[in-house]
Amino acid sequence: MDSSINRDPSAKAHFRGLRHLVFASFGMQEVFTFDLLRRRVVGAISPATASDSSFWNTRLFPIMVGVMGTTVGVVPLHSACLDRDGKGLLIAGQSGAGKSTLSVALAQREFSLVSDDWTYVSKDGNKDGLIASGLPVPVKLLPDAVQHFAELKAFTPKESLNGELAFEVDATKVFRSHVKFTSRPHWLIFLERDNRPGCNFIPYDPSDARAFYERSAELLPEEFAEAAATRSEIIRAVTSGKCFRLRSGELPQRTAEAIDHFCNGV
Amino acid sequence: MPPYDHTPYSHPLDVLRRFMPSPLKALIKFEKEIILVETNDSSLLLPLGYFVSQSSPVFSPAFHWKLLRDADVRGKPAEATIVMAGSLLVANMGPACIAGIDLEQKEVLAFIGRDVDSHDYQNYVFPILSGLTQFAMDKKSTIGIPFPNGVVGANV
Repeated sequence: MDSSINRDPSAKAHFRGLRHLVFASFGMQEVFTFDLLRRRVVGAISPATASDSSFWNTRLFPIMVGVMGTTVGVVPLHSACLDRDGKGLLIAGQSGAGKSTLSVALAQREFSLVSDDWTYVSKDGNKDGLIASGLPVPVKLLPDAVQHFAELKAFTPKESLNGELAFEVDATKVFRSHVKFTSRPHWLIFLERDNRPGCNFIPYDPSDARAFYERSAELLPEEFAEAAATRSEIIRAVTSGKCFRLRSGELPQRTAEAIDHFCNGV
Repeated sequence: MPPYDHTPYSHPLDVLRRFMPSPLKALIKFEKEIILVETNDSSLLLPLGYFVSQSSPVFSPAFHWKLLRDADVRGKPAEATIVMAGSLLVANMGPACIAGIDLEQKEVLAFIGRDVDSHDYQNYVFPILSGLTQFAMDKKSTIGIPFPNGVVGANV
């Protein structure tokens, strides 16, 4: 921390990386450098940022896990995660498929919300299994989510970290959702929007599911070949269970109900 | 050498621009040492003195610079903030120019924005990168290197 550094509260995060270094700058003066080789972070920040717990919890820690996770055996998967009785439901899908909206709808039923966007999967220590973790960050819902959740009418969408206009709200407070930080991956559903009504669950070939995650995995420099191999191993394990495609032409609450019933039988 | 291509680099799985091509390579005399410079813009080589001729003996570079012209970033460099922690030095001049110097690996890794012209580069950015390289080579005091804000030591 340096008192001569000024904070620019309106600054967007700017990311660049070369070899083992990743830079994240916020405005003209504040910067963090992630050294993936030595697993350390170096930063120069203002007193205002240093004392802003919201910045650390909702911006820097998620960035840090996203940037450094793969090199320490924690694989970021672009998927929501919900938990029911210790069994994890991962929901993957293209951006805009409705993962976050569906997650909130599921969390209003018997599921606990682990993550609505990025889930961090690692091996479970010495045990033969995986742990899926979320971060204590707000859920992010696009402005049209207000059509499905009246609770959002009290809020105004704001520009989020990636520049999207979105509601970012505490699911526990706003939706009275039950939240958990970890689960064990059990089901994997690839969500697809469909113009036709109904919810159709179709078995998904694990190799296709694996290819989906591998295709969206960040390229890593050659010095992290071992980390990339561990990532592939974890992706293989995640996709070796019960994988389905869900084509839904229904509203989020109706889709959540269908998933709830489906998970009872699988 | 070919002129710099201002086409923005884009790859959906490389949002950090780690794999932005840097096809130009040159061995440069720097102080009493030889450094290998890798870049995508020949104008970033110009202030670096003279090239080692091909008839010179085979050198083992004492340092490696990777300088990438970043076509996606606009704006001028800000006053530099230098952070030093362990074997890492970071020179932050805002999004327009950010550099990391790894003292152990003996390398400078830098992104230089589109609007950093030859005047900015030669009179401001290059002296900072040179000063930090000299510091890394000699472990000299950072006093005398043009760091407007001094050096911040920090670990998170």
